[in-house]
Amino acid sequence: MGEVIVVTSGKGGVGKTTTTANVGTGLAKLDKKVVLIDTDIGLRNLDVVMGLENRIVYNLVDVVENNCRIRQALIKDKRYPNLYLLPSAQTRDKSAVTPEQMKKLADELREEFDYIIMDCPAGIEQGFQNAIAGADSALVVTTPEVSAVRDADRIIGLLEANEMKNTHLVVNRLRTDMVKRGDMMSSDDVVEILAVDLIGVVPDDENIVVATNNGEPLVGSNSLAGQAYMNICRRLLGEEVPLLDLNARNGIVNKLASLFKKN
Amino acid sequence: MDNSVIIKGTKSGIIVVLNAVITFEELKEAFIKKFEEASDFLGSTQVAVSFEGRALSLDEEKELLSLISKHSKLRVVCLVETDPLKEQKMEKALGEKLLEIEKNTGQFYKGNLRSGQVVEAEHSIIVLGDVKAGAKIISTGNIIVLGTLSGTAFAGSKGNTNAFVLALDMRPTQIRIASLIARSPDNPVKEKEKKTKIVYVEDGNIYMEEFNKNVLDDIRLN
Amino acid sequence: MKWTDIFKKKSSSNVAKDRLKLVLVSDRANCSPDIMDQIKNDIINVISKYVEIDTEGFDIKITQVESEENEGTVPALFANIPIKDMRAPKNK
Repeated sequence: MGEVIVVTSGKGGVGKTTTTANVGTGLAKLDKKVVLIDTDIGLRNLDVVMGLENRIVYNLVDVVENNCRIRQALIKDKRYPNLYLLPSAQTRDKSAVTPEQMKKLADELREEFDYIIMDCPAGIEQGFQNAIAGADSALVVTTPEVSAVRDADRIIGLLEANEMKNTHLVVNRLRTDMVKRGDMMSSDDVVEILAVDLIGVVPDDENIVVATNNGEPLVGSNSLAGQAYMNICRRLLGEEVPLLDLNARNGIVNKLASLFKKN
Repeated sequence: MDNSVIIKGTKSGIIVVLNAVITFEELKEAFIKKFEEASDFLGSTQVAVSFEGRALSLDEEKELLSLISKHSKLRVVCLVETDPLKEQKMEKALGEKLLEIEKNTGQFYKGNLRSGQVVEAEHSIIVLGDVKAGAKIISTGNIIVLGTLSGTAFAGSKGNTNAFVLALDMRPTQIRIASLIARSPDNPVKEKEKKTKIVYVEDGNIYMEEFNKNVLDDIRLN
Repeated sequence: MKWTDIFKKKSSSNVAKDRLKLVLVSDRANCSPDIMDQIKNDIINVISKYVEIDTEGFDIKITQVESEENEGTVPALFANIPIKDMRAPKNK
């Protein structure tokens, strides 16, 4: 039986979709059978981040409305044979799907996949309710900024109210140089405030932008963010992985790497 | 009075009720007599004629029609069928003909189509503007984009494989024609120049090529 | 602000942390209207022993106020309790 994980944040633009794409791809790289579901109806994005936008024929709403079978709507990833995407509908709105329908869909996919990862829309309206409906656990993504942390706290409260068993925190876009200067909250600060389990810290990394441009998640690559995401995947599988030393890599190695890239 | 042939007038023509029992020769005689008698009354108008009361072969119908023109001043424009089975066939044929005409007509859409917008047409459609990525255009006929097509186009949505998609600047996310689907390559070659291209189906495959005189000659509009 | 404070200026990350902690206190309180209702009822019960109050106009909320001891703000519970009659209601 597969596990359903919802990736959520409350605030928009903190990296939910990027996290979904990378964690999903990472788990597939670790030989798990994974399906990613974009639940942001009307504003789909996961397909472009995954580089699969040109293969969409059917979408989530088609499946829910029985216009097609689940199999027909699932897009097989071009890089990993055991990774699939169920894209969202671009031309409908959130009310096209109900939490009950999402739960039913998640339960059907559980039979076949090891991990079902839901990319949740920003906000706490029906889209959020849809995404968390069938989920066993949640990844709450936040950045070390007051607005994002505040919204994350609200989301955690709502997840607790909905009796979510497992809630893990991902601190995204951390800048160690700013933390050192005292101009950015550290991941410890954020964890202290939110009081939830930390599952990973992802540094602010230009490579993320490059990867998104190319439609290829960078998980597992040599970049800092790529390693950070891979570590999150390992921890999801129950491995004990120490937190990445963001400082060391920020120094010489990274500079060398960027030197090579320029050449 | 001989009632083996009765002429009834209607708004658009005449109904001739024929005796079904007498022989065709007898019928002809009565027919001629009736029309000669009524010739002055009927005048020289254009009429539609229908025969009732007797099953006629095609030759018999022809003969009777020629008798009308010989023995009256009426000009028969058409023969209206009254047999319900034949009528159904006629209606169907008429419908098909009309549909065929419809296939060759198009409708215009002015403006850009942005992500999330869908335009669906029961005819061919001509877009005066761009179809952006994430937008979708669906037509039972052909799709012509006088602008950039970067979204999805679905031509021949009811199964017409002769449908085509044409755009002044062709860089679609996905093109569907009838039941076939083609998508853009994963690593698209960047073309700086705008090129008018046409996408069509041949031997069960979707092809895209530059639009020129030769391609134009190959287009079939149905 | 004392002149010595210039030398121990708070880092912006600490400011962020402190502000967040305060904001979340009221956010979380607002999150659970049940608890706010319980507080409200308890206050009404206590005060009603001594004066008659207008329960309709009764309102409580959590806000921030300037701290008296150190510079900064602390959360505070504000209650607006309209009194109908200074005498205790005749009960039992």
